Amino acid sequence: MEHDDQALWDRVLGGDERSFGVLFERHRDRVFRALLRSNPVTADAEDLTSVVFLELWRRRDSARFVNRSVLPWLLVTVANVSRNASRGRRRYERFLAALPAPEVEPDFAHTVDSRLDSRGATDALHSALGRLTEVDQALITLTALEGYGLADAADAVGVSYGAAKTRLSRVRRRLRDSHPNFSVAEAT
Amino acid sequence: MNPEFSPTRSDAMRAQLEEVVTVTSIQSNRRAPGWVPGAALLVAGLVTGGTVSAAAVTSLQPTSQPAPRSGPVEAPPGVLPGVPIISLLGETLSYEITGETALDLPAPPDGTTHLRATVTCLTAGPVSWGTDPEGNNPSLYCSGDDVLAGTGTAEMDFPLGAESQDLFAQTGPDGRALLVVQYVNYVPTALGRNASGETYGAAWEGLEPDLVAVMGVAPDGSSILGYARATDLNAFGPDWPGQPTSPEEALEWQREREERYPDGWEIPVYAPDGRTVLGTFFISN
Repeated sequence: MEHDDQALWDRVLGGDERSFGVLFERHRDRVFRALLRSNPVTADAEDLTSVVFLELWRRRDSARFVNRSVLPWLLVTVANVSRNASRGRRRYERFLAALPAPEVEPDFAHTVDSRLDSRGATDALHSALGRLTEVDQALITLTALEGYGLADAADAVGVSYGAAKTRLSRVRRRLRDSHPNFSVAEAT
Repeated sequence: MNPEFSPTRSDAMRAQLEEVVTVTSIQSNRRAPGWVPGAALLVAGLVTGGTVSAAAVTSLQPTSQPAPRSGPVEAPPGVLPGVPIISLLGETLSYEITGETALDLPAPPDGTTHLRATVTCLTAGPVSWGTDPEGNNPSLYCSGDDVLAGTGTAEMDFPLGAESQDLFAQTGPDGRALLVVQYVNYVPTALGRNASGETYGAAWEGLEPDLVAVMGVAPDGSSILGYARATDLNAFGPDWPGQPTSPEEALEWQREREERYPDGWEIPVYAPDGRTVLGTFFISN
């Protein structure tokens, strides 16, 4: 179910900081889980979750809403933040330093993504995704991993539906050639 | 059960985010060349194990290198200029650790500049290891699958200095890990110099080549190792070769940059000659 974030966002832009907190709590877990795919240390994924929301604020003039939801934009930003994790941390190091220290707790049932049947498959997928362009990576993440349709993914990334379709087709072909074990579903 | 967001940290994060909105005071930090150590590590092959958190490793790189025992040598074929040549010294030592452990290491052999420590999870859970007694060390999280498949492993080289001769490691309660330690010697290599007099190579600690090694994208979409001009990397944006000189200017430039280049911009990736274009390197806004 998608939330109507637009009204909240309008209040944020009007200076209502509590609405930003509501947006954070609303999408925190989806952003956190997406980050865990490439940042399996829980505390790192937590830190980077805040980086994604800081990016939302920093780039508030260009944030895109899809069907009045900001979640697709946040998930695209997850890919960018993961790719530039060290830079994101440096940019917001003061913010991160002020957070409570993470608790070191064992988590024996750590499952990064139940749709991937092993760590090896996850690593291979990361490796394959890492070779895509930023736009292609965002498109494949939104459609294949986050369950968005092609039109919504295209909107979130800021390319036309036709261009997104062409790009995804090329990506699927490339992934199929280089990783025959991957099955990437067609987005609609 | 999946990892859960710590409620304490979530509350603190929300409060801080709200404060950021209130004061609208996110500062535009000078863009640091974050890709540089990453590229150098990639080439030197210092990090192994796909499950190491990139954030954990890259953010905790040692911040200083000990004085090298010999001057820079010319990079031999196959070594990226600027990346040190590494030799193993003495024997490897193995330790099984559990909980919080300070290792009792033998004295390093002559010529030692770094301590190489390879950690392998024996149980699922977190493990951290490094030379900082306060625990600000790299960390690794291993799943049960990692333990079974033997993929829960990572290697780091720590510079040894007067105050960093010891190795500390920590697992979760009841967690176990294997730590293999090896003393090593680093011989720095010199940056290359092209016909135009520009230096090129990896921006390893302390090095500032004119052409910085990066992994770019070739016209056919494949990854390509080449060099980006440092001035392009360090520019505030395509239309701003320098950096802002005041907070007001920074905000103004940032506004204009986000308007003109909302998704970022590309810069050329060159061959060592600094002229032949091999591909592009993307800088996100």
